Amino acid sequence: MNSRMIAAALLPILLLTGGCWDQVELTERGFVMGVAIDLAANGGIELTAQIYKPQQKAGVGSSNQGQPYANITTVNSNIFESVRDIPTHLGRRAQWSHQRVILIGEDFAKKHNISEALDFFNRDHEPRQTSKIFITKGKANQFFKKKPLIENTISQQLKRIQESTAKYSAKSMNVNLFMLNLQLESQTGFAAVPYISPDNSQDQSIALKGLALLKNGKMIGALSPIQTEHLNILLNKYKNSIIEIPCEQQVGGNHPLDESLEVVSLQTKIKPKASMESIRVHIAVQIKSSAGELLCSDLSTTKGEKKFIEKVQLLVEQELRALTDQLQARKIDMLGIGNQIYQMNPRLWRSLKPNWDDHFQRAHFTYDIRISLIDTGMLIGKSSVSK
Amino acid sequence: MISRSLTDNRSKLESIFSDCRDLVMLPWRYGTDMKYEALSVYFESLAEPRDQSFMRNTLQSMAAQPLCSADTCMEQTRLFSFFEQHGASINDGVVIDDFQHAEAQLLLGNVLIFLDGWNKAIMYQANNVKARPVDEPSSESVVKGPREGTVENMRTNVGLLRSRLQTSQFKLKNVVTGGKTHTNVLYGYVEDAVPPHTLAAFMKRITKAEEMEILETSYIEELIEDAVYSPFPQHRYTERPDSAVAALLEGKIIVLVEGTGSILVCPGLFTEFFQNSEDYYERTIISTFIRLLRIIAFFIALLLPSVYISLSTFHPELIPTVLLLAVLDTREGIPFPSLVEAVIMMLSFELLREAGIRLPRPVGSAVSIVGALIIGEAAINAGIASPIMVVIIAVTGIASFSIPQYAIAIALRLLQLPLMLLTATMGIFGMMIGLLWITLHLASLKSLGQPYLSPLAPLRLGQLADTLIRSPLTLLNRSPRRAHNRNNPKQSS
Repeated sequence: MNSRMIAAALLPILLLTGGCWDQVELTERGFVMGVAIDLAANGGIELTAQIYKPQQKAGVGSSNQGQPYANITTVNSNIFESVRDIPTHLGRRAQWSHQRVILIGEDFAKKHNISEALDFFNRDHEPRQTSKIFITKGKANQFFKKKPLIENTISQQLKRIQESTAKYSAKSMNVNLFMLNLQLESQTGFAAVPYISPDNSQDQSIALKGLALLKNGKMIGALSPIQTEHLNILLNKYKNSIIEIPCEQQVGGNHPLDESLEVVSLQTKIKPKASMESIRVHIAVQIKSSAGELLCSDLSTTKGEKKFIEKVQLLVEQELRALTDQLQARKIDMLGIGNQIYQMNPRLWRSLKPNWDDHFQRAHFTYDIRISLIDTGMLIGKSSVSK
Repeated sequence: MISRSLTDNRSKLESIFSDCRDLVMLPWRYGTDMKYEALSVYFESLAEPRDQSFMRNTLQSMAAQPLCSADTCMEQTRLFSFFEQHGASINDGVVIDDFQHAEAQLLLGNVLIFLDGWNKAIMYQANNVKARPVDEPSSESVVKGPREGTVENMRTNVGLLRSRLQTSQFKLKNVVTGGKTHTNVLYGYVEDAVPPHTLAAFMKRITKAEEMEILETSYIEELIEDAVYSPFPQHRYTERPDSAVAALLEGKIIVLVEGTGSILVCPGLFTEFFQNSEDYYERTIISTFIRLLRIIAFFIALLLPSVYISLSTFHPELIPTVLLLAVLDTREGIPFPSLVEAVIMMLSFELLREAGIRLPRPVGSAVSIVGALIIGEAAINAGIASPIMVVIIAVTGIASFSIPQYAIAIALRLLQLPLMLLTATMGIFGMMIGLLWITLHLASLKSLGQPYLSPLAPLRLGQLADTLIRSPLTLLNRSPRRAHNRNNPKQSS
């Protein structure tokens, strides 16, 4: 009886003390918003963490307190050691679960397999797989010194840039840590990561430079924003964007502006047919669009509409072909054709894999572009500019 | 026994009620030549002034107008037999012959008349303690529905119920309570509707009241309660006769106590504390929405401070980033851990509430102004609390007030603090342990033998139509006959 009473009294103490050491108040933590990984001068890793600096709103002293972030740079030979060095500068324990972006410097990405740097973020329980990934032209930590335009921190702004661009203009891609891991671990080992550079023409701004291409974790090249748009079409990741259609030069007129079509929905199917001898890839694209700007085409008649659509179909095919030609020339299978072959026929893939670069280069592409125009936006199906 | 001698009776009364200044003993005479003596006895504080002399007037007028020519006509013996046969029945006079009975009747506010030479007394009711008129119930006001509320006078209350429940099945039984108060306690039920085992349990427990001083209905509640130390109320109160009748039809037992305005409804089940008589007067989807809202309010009132503490001290990864940044901004510079902050704000809120209830109304408004300033503004400016914590405590308080039964709102506020302590030490796991403990307690609790959580546990799907939601009236079983059969399937034909 007595021992039971003692046990009953001790049980709460056991339970209560058991949890206490995990208790950390919000004001004892530093929330990491973004992290930049660069190659240090001594060959190690230079890790810069952008930590949110709360703007004190309660109590006295709630005046203007400067920028709401603090950047801390530590240099070590691995990530974890650098992470544990943050409190030595900050005095607060770093909390990684709200990390928005991981920026990787170009120098680092060209020299190291970026998986080496990302292993910590995959393994530790705090960082999230949904952190967005960027590869930067120049040093990655220079971006953290920029002032954000609207958001609290540049990290948040970069995250929003990646999301919105992928959604509304297809000039970038949504690549978070998880998706990057999938790409890096795929059979071909090719990966595409949004590529940014500081925009010196506009102060404080960031220029989106398309995609950085990686092979086996190392950066091997880049694609321009327009090429990114085309790659998104091929990968069926195209959500919403504009197709620009040049007007023909009219006799005696000025050089006309481009017309544009707004893509409402787009579906792409890539069907490879592979054998040891030849690889044929059929690309079928279905686009539903509505007229965005009409300057020189006349869609008011069935004939005019057909002519216009044929013109756009040809244009899209040319653009896509230009991209695949370039990718083939550079031996970069960004379309994931190798991965598809692996999924359909693993045995064949095993024999193709050693020389896949050459196989890809020799692949034959055919296109089937279908565009339908569902809306002209106005009652008149031709330019509203009066002549 | 009442003596034949008027002087004996008088001296006996004087010795019993010595030092009772409000007892009036009025000697008077009647008959031809005023030759017979009589005595009226009453408490001037209890009896209706107009009625005190009514019987005396009657007698005197009877004596003054000879009913017959002979002077023996108004003889004592004839007068006595006249009363014994209930001759004078303008006001319901009763002849009593027991002295203790006479004493009790006096204390009830009745008037006693002793006649010399007669070993009996005439008693008639003149009880008139000033009572509050039937008014709108202040604790359960409604937008729609009847605006009659119970009053302190039990007879009025019973009348309000009887007029709504015109059936002989509505039984009312009396409990004689002891002590010095002799408070009249009545309990009522609809014979067809009440489950017999519940009634039996109730009747067994109510006998405890016989030796108690009962001043208020809640005394009865505590006497018949299963778990006195539970924070959860196991019986509920109503001041609305319509609500009491609805409870009776559902098979509840009601208790009325003389001198108390509220009706005790037993047994009270957990889900009933989220219901209100107005639910049945509003349209079904509106009532359903409001009931669901109350359930949400229940969880907010119980858990919101704990959730905030656990998220901010243990699991900041669960807060959406943008919200977290806003919270960080408001938390920066607060010297206290979030538990201490929450306890400070909660205590000041409770103090404010308590002060507002007890203070006289003119002072009360000053308290609320000062309180609103202190909690809302000054605490933030002084760096004691963060705005987010003020929001959380305020929402918690509002949520607890939006539960219609006050008793359960208090229970929730009592449980908040232990839950906050648990979460502050163990995070979300502590909250789970606390919730588990509360659930276990609720599931094991019984009220008059009925499981407290029914119809949720044990699950009775048929009754859920009027629990979390309010189904249309045509789908609800309101008939006592069917309710009875539902409770006792074996007895149904």
